[in-house]
Amino acid sequence: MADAAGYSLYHFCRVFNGIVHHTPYDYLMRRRLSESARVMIETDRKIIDVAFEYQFNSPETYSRAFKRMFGMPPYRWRNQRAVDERLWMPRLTLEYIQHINKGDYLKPVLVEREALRVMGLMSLVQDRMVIPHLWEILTQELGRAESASALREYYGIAWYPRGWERDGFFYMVAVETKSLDGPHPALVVKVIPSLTYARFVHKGPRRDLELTLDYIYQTWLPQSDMRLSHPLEIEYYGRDFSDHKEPEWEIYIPIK
Amino acid sequence: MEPRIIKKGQITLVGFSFFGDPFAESGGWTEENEIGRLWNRFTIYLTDHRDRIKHIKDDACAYEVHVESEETASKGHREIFVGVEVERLEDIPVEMLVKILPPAQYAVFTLNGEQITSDWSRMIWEWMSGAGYESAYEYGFQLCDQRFKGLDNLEGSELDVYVPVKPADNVPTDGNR
Repeated sequence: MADAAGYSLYHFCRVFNGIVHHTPYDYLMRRRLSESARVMIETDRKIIDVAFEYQFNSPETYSRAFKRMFGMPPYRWRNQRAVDERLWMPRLTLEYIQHINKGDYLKPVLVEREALRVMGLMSLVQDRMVIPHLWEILTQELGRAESASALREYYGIAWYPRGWERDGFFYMVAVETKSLDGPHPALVVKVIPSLTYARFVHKGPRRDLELTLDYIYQTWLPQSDMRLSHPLEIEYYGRDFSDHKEPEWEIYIPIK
Repeated sequence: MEPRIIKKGQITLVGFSFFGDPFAESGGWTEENEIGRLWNRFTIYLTDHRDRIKHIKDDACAYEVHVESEETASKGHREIFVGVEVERLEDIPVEMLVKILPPAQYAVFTLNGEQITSDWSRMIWEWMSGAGYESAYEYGFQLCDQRFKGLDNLEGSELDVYVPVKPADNVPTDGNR
């Protein structure tokens, strides 16, 4: 790769790591493992054949590397047929590299949050494109309920149940309920206990959120000493969830 | 069919929710639509993690709440919530949701056998307009207790449907319709 780029090996590794946040070797391994993981689910080929095809010296080496990346050995991944795709590393794109190099805002801060009680609408989501529609409906419902809109704190909460890649994940558009009085039958309430989170700041339009999440799950998480404590993501928008000129919001990932 | 009219205080439910068009793939009483999937998810959760839900009022009673929105008529979007009633809003598992229904007056219709899977919503609306009531909130629920034996045993099953009602603003009187 260094030869192809016309750099010395040392310089290439340093530049690559600085931009991609993975060493070339780590990136190559993760891409091989990700592609092989897809083959494991989509075909019935033997694990040993898949291991050799993706340049692993033995099934044992492959199994160890696989478990390190996906948290489970290849045979279990295959048996489940539905796996956490957030951990799968896609091919790098220029858009992604530009996104994660816009600044150092992807460095998280560890925070403890007190229990949070929110009220809103939850739907099963296959595609994040439907989420703005949920916001519209929530706004209508809240408009009917009361008028203290200036005091609302807005949250988007994603919950990834087992098998979410196949069936979809749950997404809740919500407001903190402190300012709402009495029951509101059209909405649901969610109570999230006090947890420890890695807090990231996402900058950029909503369509780039996936890039930030890719970075969190595929680069930051494996390089940290942390694990996810719940299959949950919280987006905190403050008092305005709409896309403004330079949108910026906080993303909380529960960790342990 | 004459309903009973009763008053109930606030109902706090813990369970799972779906918002969208539950009948997009398949209508009616089947496991092949979002309502069936919601029940499956809830039943499996209760089987595996019953101990995580504290303060359940009655293990034998489960609720299926339907909430209509402004888009129900045009797009079929509504919320379905399946859950159990709890005494208070404490110790809620992080993976679950809460639905709070306000104190209300309800018309309670008891359905038997084949009636359960019939189109009873129309019958309820007809009763309401004839009896001088109107809907008090845009939701209603079905209460499944030990009398409901399952879809494969409708013959011996009973189910109560609760509709929040209030006296209609314009109660029809003789000569005024």
